[in-house]
Amino acid sequence: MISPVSKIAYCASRTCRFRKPIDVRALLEKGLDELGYRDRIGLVETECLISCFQGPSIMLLPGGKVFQVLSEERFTETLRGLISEPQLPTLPPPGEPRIEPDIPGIEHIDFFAKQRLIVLRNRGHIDAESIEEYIAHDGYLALYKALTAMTPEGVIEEVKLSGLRGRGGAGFPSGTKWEEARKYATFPKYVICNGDEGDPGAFMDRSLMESDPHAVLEGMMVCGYAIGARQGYIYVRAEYPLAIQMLRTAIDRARRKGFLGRNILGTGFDFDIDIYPGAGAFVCGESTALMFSIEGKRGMPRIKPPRSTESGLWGRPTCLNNVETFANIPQILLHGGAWFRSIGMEDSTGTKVFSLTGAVKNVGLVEVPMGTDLRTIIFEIGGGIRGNAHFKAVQLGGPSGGCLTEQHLHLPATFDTLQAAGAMMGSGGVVVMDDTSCMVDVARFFTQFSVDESCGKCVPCRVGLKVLLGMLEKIIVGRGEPSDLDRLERQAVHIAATSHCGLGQAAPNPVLSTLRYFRHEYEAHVREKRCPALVCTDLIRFEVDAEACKRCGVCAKVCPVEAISWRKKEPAVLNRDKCIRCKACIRACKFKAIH
Amino acid sequence: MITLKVNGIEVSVPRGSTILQAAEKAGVFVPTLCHDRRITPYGACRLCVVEERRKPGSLIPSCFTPARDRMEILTETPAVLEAVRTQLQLILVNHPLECPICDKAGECTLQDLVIRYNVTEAPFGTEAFARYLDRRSPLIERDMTRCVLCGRCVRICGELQGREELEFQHRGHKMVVGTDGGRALDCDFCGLCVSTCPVGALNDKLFKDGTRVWKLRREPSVCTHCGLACEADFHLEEGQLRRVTPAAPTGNGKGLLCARGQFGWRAFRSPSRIGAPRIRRDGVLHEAGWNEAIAHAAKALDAVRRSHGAASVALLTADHLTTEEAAAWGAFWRDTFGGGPVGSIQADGYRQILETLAGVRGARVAGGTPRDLDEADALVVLGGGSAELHPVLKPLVNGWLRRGGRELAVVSSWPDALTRRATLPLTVTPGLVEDFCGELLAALGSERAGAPADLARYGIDSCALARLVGLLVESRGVVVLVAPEPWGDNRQKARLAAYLQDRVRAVVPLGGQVNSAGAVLGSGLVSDGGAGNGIALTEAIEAGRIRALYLLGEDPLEGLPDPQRVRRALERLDCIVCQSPFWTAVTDLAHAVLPSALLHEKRGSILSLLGESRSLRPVLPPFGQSRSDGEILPGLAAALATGPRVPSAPSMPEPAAPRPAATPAADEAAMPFRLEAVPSLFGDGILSRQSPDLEELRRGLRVVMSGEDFERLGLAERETVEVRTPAGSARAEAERDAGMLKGLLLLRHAAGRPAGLSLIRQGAGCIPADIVRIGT
Ligand SMILES: Cc1cc2nc3c(=O)[nH]c(=O)nc-3n(C[C@H](O)[C@H](O)[C@H](O)COP(=O)(O)O)c2cc1C
Ligand code: SF4
Ligand code: SF4
Ligand code: SF4
Ligand code: FES
Repeated sequence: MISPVSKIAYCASRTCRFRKPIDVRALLEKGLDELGYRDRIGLVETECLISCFQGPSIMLLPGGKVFQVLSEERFTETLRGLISEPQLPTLPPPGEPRIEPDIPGIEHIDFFAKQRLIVLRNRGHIDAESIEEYIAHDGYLALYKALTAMTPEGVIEEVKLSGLRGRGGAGFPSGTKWEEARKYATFPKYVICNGDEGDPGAFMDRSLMESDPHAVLEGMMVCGYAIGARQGYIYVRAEYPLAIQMLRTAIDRARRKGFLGRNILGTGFDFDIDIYPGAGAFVCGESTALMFSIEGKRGMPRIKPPRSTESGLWGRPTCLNNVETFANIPQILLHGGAWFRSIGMEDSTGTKVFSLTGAVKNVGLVEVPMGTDLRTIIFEIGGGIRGNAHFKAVQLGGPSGGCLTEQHLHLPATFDTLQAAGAMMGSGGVVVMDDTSCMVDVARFFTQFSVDESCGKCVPCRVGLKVLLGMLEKIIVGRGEPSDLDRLERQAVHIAATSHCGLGQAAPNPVLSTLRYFRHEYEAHVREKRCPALVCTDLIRFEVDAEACKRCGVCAKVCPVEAISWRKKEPAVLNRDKCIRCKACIRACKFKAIH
Repeated sequence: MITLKVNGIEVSVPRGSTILQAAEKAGVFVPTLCHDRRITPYGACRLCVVEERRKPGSLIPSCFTPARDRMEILTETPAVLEAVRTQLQLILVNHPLECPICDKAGECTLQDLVIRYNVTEAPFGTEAFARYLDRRSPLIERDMTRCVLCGRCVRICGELQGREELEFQHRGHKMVVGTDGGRALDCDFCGLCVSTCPVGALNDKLFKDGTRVWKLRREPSVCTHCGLACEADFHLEEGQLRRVTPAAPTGNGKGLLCARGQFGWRAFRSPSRIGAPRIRRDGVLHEAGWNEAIAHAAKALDAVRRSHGAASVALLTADHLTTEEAAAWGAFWRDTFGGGPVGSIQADGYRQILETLAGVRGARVAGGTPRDLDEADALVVLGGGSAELHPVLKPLVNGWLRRGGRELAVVSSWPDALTRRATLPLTVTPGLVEDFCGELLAALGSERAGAPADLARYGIDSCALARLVGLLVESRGVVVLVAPEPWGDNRQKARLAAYLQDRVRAVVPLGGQVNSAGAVLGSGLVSDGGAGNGIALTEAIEAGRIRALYLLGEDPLEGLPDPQRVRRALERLDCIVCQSPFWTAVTDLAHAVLPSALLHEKRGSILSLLGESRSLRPVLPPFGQSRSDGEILPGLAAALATGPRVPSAPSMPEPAAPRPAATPAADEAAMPFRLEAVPSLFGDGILSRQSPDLEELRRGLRVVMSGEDFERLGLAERETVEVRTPAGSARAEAERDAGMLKGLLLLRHAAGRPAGLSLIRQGAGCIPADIVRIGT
């Protein structure tokens, strides 16, 4: 029997296993065995098929359609249907029933339908360990084109034309950076790929390195050709062992195929890449600190000038870009800068991968054209707020990003609009918060992160942030005074204005943006000594509001120390002497009757 | 040049200057805490912020931001003042206010700024972390609770001193400056970290808790521990010396000192200073008046002169005379003793090389100036131990290297401080540096400028050698430093230096004592036939050609190898006159002891190795009855004026060739190591040897070996071992050094120690040796 399916990829991640404890591999093996396809259809284990919220799932190749595995019982039957019919990569005519109603195809789901995949296009579609599959998906064609049909200047022109801006946070135009690095006639030069990805919650770079490592390598090689470098380094966070392994394998395969090493593709171009596992500090993601770290020194940002493009690693011209930035390069060369520029917005072209987390229904990586508005990302792709809560804020740009409100949901997500609104693109973290979040507490949480991660070099960041944190803590425990808010703001502005690197400069963003958009919440804390979101324990009275109480008694059931007494049809009574302030009752009460 | 305005004042500065430099030029004060002009800017304190008139609201750190043409910088806008005040308040959060018990009070940058900016309240509270207090380290106390984390010490230690002894540890508000593993300091003790610390975190222990800085008077002077004669500030309280610090790094001053300069000053008042003249009568030294002592000395010298001829009296100088004194002594010696043998022990190598250079060129040898060093494209160092002889070369060369694109070639048989920084290290087989220089000279001199014939013998890589030859052949931008071996032969180096001196930018002989350059070049305190070295002297005494010695601060017993033989020779002499500031071993044998003053007690000028002339004024009162060498001379000259003047050609002892090694004794062949005596970082000279504090750093005789040998011998850290050579045996503390070749031993701190000197031979660059564990 011939099947249009040649391979089945399945998700082996823990997330999916948690959702439904099904051993997909065993099921698939059994099914294929029974159907007689065991030898003909290969199985590929992948880490994620971008549908964590509805896993476990499988993907049929070629074509790349993803299906959800819902039941073990009828699996073999379902499989027969799936593999005996061609799974064309086009959409079936609208309205036509799915092949198997239990398993919806992904392109019908909003989560995917609104996405536009450029850098994530190969993820899950190809076996990351197979260079042949990458090549079959136009892999290394861009490199070939660059080496045989383009001058280094031509490559740089194309990248400039594309309008590509760095995806590592600051959004620096990549073509301009390459041009700078090319300008200096000091050799050797270096290309560095920044895979440090220190933002908690962000994992797009990891996902790229794990699922499509060759695209990153190819981008680096093109960069090496453009600027005149012969050596590249990938600095990968040490907590990403799989990414390191995948990159190692990819580098090894590329060397064997002659894409890396001497005289690449017979063009006389030499280039090689080595991996450097990171040192584990957030600040090591900053470009100059990263270079120190590779040199074996303490990862601490240095002063500029000189820029790294003039004197970077080992004092040589160095071009450093983010993983996602490099992954865009092959597509830009293949389809042209003009094509790339046509996607997204005028000053922010192409797509951006966001990692959507928090109180939304669908969480995960989403790749959308730049300028997609926040409402689309949160409510259409993300499916809106989980449970019966309401949207309150969205925090953009990692730990030092800012919090935006409902009024900003129409904003197109571009580098500049976000910056103007007091948030930032950062690495693309999107944390959605519902009304159970206290914004003062949110600010404290992110400030704590920055305090812990400050490298300690400069006074405003090292001491200033600590002082800022102290002020927030004072407010949270109810000892804040109205005048503290102005001092808080002045202090935050001072840190941002005088800190040395991006960490210190951006670290006050959470405080500044929440003060700007949620000042009333701070006011409630300092004037009324009240936490409206019922998060700050010290500001909660732990009383049952007899009027609001619907007498359901849930609170009494969840209280671990039996501090709440309840009799049918009577409001609950909370005994504060026994109460350990664990807030279990507050979370359980649907009517917000305890505060 | 670019032109900009700072607070409305127009200034022009070279392109690439920082805004801070422009402000300084305009005479505008900008507060800084983490900046030290000796090192690269760092940007940590964020106090130096300024505003640009056209970009209000954006605060620019001025210490590293380049100035641009037509900028209009404002340093006192409300935003700037507010930022500076907030920054100071933040710094004070973690800084204990213990000014009353802090030595820095009165010269503390933080204190000064707090007062200047009128920071009188602590809106952010105080939270002084208790960080560690290191009292175990010698000479430097580290009270890290006071540290403001400006990083100046870390940077000056790494960038200039090249030690990286101090490092940042931990992150964020937990950050501290420390040593690895929190151990006590074990470094060069250059004191640069102490000199740069803007607060009272790094303290000079010799100064600590003694007085308050506002009671001190600062006297600019120079350091007299070596021939670089670095400028130093002497701080006195009612005539008492309290501390020495590097001269402020302004103008041309480099603002550098080493351990000797900063911590070696207690030598000036060491208990072995001689207070009054003595004469030997009936075999015992008796105190005497000056006239009597001089007459006694003159009589003995005159007797020798009359019976054996003037040339049988030799003079050894430690080169601690001012140039004027040296001139007078030179003239006196020529007139009275016919220019008989003049030499030096400590400065022997230096004098040998310099006199060879002068012999080729006539007396006008310029040497290299600091500017030559600064502007050189490449430095070639011939011989090991240059930065051990003159420790401030280390920060000088490191600072020079930091500017990038420069080549440092070092020819040495051991990993000395500069070899470790060299871009072109050439490690020559121990004992063969002299031969190598000879062959290099032959190769350079011959038409085919090829490489020395037998490379394998020298153990150098041929590419490195070709590069060295290339440097020496083509470049006018090359400065050559020649470092003599302390007790070795240096004639080949001298000849090579003489060959090179017209071909490269400058040749600088090293190894001179504080005014060796002045004595030789400025006034000719030399003998007509060149300096006699120690072995020649010993042999001449043994042969009866030399019958009397006049010692100007020098001591053959403490400075020459094989002290037993030297003692026997000295005991044969008819007369020894010791004119010295200190009691040393040889004063016991003297017929007359004339206490002389130290340079800091005199007036006059000296000439540094780099041709800088420095004038001295007395900063210390004379000690006891001691007199300057210049004051002593007239009496002596008068007493000897009546004698027969002997103009005859002196029978100058030829510098001895290294004696052909005697057929190796059986035990010699079995000795697995080669031992080389190397200069001490803490000074081998007569003055440095008198400092108790430098002696504490030396920790006695030390023998250094490779880690591999150290482990193979199963030694413990700092274990005392017995070192044996065919010349003798002695106990020394064993030390390991990862950079060392296997099979090589370095002997440190031999000078001044009979045990150490008894291990080595004059003229032999290196000697077979063995290490024996004690008790096995
Ligand atoms: C504190 C700090 C952390 C950073 N961490 C990262 C990181 O994890 N990954 C990254 O790509 N860029 C990070 N950056 C940004 C880099 O400094 C740099 O701008 C970027 O990698 C340049 O690449 P791009 O031009 O492709 O964006 C960080 C910057 C700062 C200040
Ligand atoms: S802003 Fe913070 S992280 Fe950046 S250099 Fe300063 S102390 Fe280090
Ligand atoms: S004394 Fe000199 S070598 Fe020692 S820690 Fe200080 S700067 Fe470094
Ligand atoms: S010890 Fe002194 S010089 Fe070193 S970082 Fe601290 S304050 Fe600065
Ligand atoms: S002096 Fe410029 S930041 Fe400290």
